[in-house]
Amino acid sequence: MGLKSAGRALNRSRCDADSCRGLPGAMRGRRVAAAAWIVVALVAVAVAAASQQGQQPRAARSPEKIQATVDRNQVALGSQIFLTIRIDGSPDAPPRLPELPDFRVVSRGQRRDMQWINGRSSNSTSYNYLLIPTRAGAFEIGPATAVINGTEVGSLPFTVQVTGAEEQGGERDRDLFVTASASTERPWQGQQVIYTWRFHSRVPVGQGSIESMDFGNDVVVEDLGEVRQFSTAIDGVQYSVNEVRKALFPQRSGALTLPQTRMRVEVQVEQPRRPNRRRSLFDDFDSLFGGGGRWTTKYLLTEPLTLDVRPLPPAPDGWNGLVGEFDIRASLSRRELQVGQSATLEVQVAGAGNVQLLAEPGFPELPAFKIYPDQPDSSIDRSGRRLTGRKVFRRALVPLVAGSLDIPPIDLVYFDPERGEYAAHSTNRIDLDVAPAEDEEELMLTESVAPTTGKVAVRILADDILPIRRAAAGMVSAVPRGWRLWAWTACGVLPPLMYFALLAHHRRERRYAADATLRRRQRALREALSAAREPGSGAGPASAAEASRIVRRYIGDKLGIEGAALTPSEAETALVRAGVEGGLADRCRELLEQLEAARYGLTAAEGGSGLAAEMGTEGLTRLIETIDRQIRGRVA
Amino acid sequence: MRRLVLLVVVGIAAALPGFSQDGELPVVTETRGAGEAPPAAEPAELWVNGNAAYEAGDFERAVVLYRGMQDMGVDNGHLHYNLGSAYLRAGELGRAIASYRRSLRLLPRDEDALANLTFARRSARDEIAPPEPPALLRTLLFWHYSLAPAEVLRGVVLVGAAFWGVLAVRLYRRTSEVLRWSAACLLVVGLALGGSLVAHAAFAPAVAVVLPQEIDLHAAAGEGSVVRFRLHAGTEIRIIEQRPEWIRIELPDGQRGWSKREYLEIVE
Repeated sequence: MGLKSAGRALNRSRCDADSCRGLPGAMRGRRVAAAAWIVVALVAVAVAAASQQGQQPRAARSPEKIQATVDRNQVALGSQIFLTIRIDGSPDAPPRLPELPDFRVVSRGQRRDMQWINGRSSNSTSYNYLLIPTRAGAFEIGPATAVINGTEVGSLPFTVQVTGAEEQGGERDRDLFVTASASTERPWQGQQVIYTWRFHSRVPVGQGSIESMDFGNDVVVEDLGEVRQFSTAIDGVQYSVNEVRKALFPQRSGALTLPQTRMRVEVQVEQPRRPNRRRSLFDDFDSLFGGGGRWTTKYLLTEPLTLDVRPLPPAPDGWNGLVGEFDIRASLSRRELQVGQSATLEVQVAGAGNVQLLAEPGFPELPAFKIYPDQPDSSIDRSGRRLTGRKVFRRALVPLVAGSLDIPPIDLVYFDPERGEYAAHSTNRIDLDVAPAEDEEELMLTESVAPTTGKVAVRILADDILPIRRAAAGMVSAVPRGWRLWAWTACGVLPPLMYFALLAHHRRERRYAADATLRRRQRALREALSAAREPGSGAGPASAAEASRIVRRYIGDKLGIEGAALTPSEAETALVRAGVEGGLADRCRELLEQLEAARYGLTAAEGGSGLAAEMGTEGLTRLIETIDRQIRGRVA
Repeated sequence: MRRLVLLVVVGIAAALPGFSQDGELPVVTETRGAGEAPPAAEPAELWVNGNAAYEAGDFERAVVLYRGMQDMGVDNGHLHYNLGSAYLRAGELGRAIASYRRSLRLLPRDEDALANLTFARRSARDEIAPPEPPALLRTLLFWHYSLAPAEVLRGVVLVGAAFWGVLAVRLYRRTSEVLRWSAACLLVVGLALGGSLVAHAAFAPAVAVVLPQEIDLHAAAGEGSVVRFRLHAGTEIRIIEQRPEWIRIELPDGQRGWSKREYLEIVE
């Protein structure tokens, strides 16, 4: 703003200078000097203004890395403060809060923010907490610390003022509050104290729950019914009240503090409406469906209560711990009976107080009766405004003698907190008339007899186990071992193996039976090779005839024809037809022709060493194997 | 071919002598005189001496001798029967019931063992029905519950051999209806016995017997765990999980608990 005004003044001064053109030189010189002074002054003012504004940017250049803020620094008891700790950058760990002994601290999560300004990004993390003051006063919230990039930084401390409820103008000015009260502040040890907790509200509330109502180990607590709901007016203001009642029984004397009770409740908060906004039709729907505001969580605390528990005076005989208001009554089911008949004596102890300790009163000695005790009945009533209970003890009395008998009073001793002393109640004496018994019936005890036959039923007098075994079977294992195991294994494995071997044999025999040449074809190679390996007698006519016979027989067996009558040409034709190459078939024909000639001595002069070689074992074997391979290859 | 069939028959016949064990066993009785030679086999000596100790009232020694036979690999229903009686006389109810159960597993039709087991069960304190298969199942699978595993094994082998033999003969007598139906029946019987054998070997329910007078059953496998309930000696319970040191059991009403392994004797 200072810079702008200085600029405007400078422009104005320029306009004044322009407008002064044409004035005399001296006058114009003075005006120029004055304008220069004005410009200097304005520049000085602008610089000063700029320096004042620069205070904040200089602080921002070295900003606090951690900042602790609260939504308000003045609050009443029963309300809460939202504490936010904002840390620039990414902290190594959540911040460490200062010591807050006068507040209950509830974490409300964290939030990360990222900003992108002028091409540079910055992020921050905000940690939210709810501080619930537990007492009134001024409290300093110390520095919260955090470690950022290895450096520990701390926030600035500040002070929060907590005021009592009455300082806020009384309960009537509040929309929500809780109260706790005790029926007496100076109870006796063991006396029943009614603790009443009330939640007052005059605004819509959602879910609510009591988060802590713990009275410690020095107090026995009994619930008194369900939560009671009613309406009440306090100083003309209507409140909806939820009431919880507990019966407390202090177990020790002295000062006893009942801690605060904390409640968590969801409260609907009205959204602030813009002043110039007119009410919309949809506002009614919002209120109808509960959308007229947002829900927030509130924590309400009661004031702690302190009881001054008085010790009990020394107890008299017969006291068994009862403190409260109790009574005892006795009744007999019948007053007139005979010897041997029974009547039920019923003694009822009832009252209000520590009824958990209701015990059997001391029954008097009744030597004229045979007594059979029964299980007592007890009941505790928690639905009323205080804890009450009763316990009924029963005895079946059977008079042993005739005459006028009586049951003496039965005493009950308890401590009466109203009077501050022990009290005793007694039952009335009960008189009864016992008449002599009528003639006794003789019992006829006999053995059980079967109804029709008259035979006596057999009774088992005793039982025992049967004798041990002596057979030799006890010496050996039932499970086969050794050679027996192998024998059984063989019995299990051999039959299927033998069956499949037999099956294969059977099928082959059937194939041979179905195809007469099959056996010859399968055996042709083996028999031919076997015959060829027999030692020949050189290249003479006999060997040539044998070699010719071997070759022709092989061809005949292999092709399923009569081989002995084959001519060389027929053999060649049959081989070619069976898939043998032409060259090999031709060579076979030539060999057969040469062998035929040698057989009759026609080629003795020509009889080269080549024919002798082909007539030998190796030559015949090679030829036959080659032919067999080609025939098998064609078949395959 | 006839030679082959003959070989099959001879092979089976050669393997069969093991079928009847009792016929080959040496008979050892207590009536032998002092001058007679003791039995050559050590198990036989333990057997005789164990029986003598039992008759003399020295049940602990009888247990030791019978256990000695077990350590030598002897395992049969008669031995478990005598061992159960010795345990029962010695006051070890849990081990007695376990031995009787083993005896009945190997001799499922032995009425004496069943009677002694019933007698021993009367001494058990817990009123818990022992884990037994349903009556309907026992009726339907009568062969499984009335035959010992060894008997089932022998039956499988013999029926199998007969089945394959019938099939072999049928190769040469294809039109014989008798052979066809015989093979079908033998196949059904063999499958039933084979299934029973598999069930004996792999699916026999694991049962444990409580040994100490009283044991704690914990909610989890650990001494520090909550004790859910207690059981007493002789109670038979079904095992549902085993760990090296702990066993999880289940009662008939579905209650489950963990016990230390040393407190239980596993029967099957």
